[in-house]
Amino acid sequence: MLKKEQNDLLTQTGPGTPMGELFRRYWLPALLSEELAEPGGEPVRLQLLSERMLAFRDSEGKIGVIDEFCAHRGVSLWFGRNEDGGIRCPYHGWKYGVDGQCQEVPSESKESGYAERIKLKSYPLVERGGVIWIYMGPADQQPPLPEWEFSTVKQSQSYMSKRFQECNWLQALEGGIDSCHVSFLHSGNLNTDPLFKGSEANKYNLNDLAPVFEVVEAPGGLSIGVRRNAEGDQYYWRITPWIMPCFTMVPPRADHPVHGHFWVPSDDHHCWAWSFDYHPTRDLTENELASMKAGKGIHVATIPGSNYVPIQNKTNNYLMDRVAQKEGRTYSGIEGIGMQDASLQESMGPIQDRTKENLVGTDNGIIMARNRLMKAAKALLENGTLPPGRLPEEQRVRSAALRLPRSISFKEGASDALKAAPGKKHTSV
Amino acid sequence: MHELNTPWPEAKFRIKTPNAKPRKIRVVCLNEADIDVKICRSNGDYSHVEFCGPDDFRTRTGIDPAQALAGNLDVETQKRVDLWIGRPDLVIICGCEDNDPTLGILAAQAYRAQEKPVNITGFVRVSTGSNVSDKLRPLCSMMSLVTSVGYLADLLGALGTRG
Repeated sequence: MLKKEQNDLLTQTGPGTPMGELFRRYWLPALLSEELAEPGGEPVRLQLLSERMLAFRDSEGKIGVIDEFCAHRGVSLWFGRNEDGGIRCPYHGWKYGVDGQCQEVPSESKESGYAERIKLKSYPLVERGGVIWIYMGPADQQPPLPEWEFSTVKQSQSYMSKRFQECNWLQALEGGIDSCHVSFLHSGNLNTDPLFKGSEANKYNLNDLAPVFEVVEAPGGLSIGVRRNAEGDQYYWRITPWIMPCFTMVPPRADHPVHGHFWVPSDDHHCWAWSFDYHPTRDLTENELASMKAGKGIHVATIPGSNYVPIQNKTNNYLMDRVAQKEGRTYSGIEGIGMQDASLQESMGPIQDRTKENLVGTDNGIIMARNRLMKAAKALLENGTLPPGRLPEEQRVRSAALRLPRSISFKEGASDALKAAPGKKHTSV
Repeated sequence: MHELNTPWPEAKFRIKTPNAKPRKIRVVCLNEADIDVKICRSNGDYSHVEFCGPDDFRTRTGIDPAQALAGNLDVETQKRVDLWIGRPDLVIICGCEDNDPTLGILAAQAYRAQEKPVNITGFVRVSTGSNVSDKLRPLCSMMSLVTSVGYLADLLGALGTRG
């Protein structure tokens, strides 16, 4: 349960808000590289942290993201012509470069220097791991480039997708932290989804519905361990790292690729759910890639030509199938792990009213994550203290799934498994 | 149902009636001077929360936690210990790795043995060693290992104890 002012603090990420300022101290995933594939190709509207922007790759191949609206009379530059090293407003021909600098104002003489006085806001971008990352904060506080393992392995080892989610970022993130729901909501998929099935550990999830949580504060966020009874004197541990502000990783199963998410605010009522899968030591197989592209595992099938809007969405009740629910093929009646999560998170409303929730012991990860976020936002606001999770060494983390003797804590027994390193196999059962 | 007078669109048309009864929460602190407990006590406006530590135990039972843990108590002393244990809905055992875990072990064993077992959260501030967390881990239904101060107050708030 939160007080209204705490809920506001955590959920509002527009310019000038404490949490908005916090988000503006990180590199955030903004676009898939494929969205700006062609030099001089179609520009893309982009809304992040309640700011509307336009991204484009100019005719020379340079990428940029600028204020969406022309400085002249506020026309959306999405209608613009991407030509000759800039984007030209189709209304009166004003043209801008990828850095937002106005290059031409045709109605004014070049000699007047008027164009040089016009500059749209732009933000730095960097392209790595099939993702275009954006930094929206002060230039002197820009962190080192992102070092998440999925973005540093060979392209053939990694796959990334994204979907538009119609709710605040925090309730989506909290779904990523709360792994207790897997034994219920996703139980129908553990033994059928091509990217989950075949793990001998699935039985632990399905048989033990009252797992014990252990949350450990980590330099960049939290390590959230969940233990279930295993054979003999062992526990089966699933460990989820959360790195501030919005990165979570799902513990792996068998030799399947490892996966995880970023939950990035679009505005206070919508977010981008980014989903990645990668294998640290081998290429993804054709079958795995085909499954991911088909919306299996944590990925979701989206409407072609839409801005990554899921085919299952609230306008069609997420294609609820009551027969499948009754027969146990899916626990909630919604098909697919990603949309099982999204449907319930969206059902909470655009911003969950946390003044009415009743948290229990298994929610301690969520409680601690909120605590860290609030503290970090206040420290940044009041003292200018930069938040955790910005440094490469804090980002080189992994999730893990393993059996350990009951006498050993996961902090001790899984410490190596939770660190990413090139060429090191992930720890999974 | 009626529309609430609120600027939150998500709260529109939601039923206003409270959806839960308060829980009785007991914080068993391993050290009376624990910094997180001090912060909570100085906040002073928790409802349905009781803080108690080794001194409180000694005062109310007349014995040390170690004596109680060893067992073989006479009937009157056992009654006093049982009274101290009580029947909370939720227990948080709070301390540092270098505290004496005896009171926490005693409490956790007693609450687990109750007819209606109690959810027990072990809340341990990490320092050198892992004596307390290792001892409490098998007895707790939830563990939090933290390095910074202030989580306990937020935990209690999140559990609905602030007005």
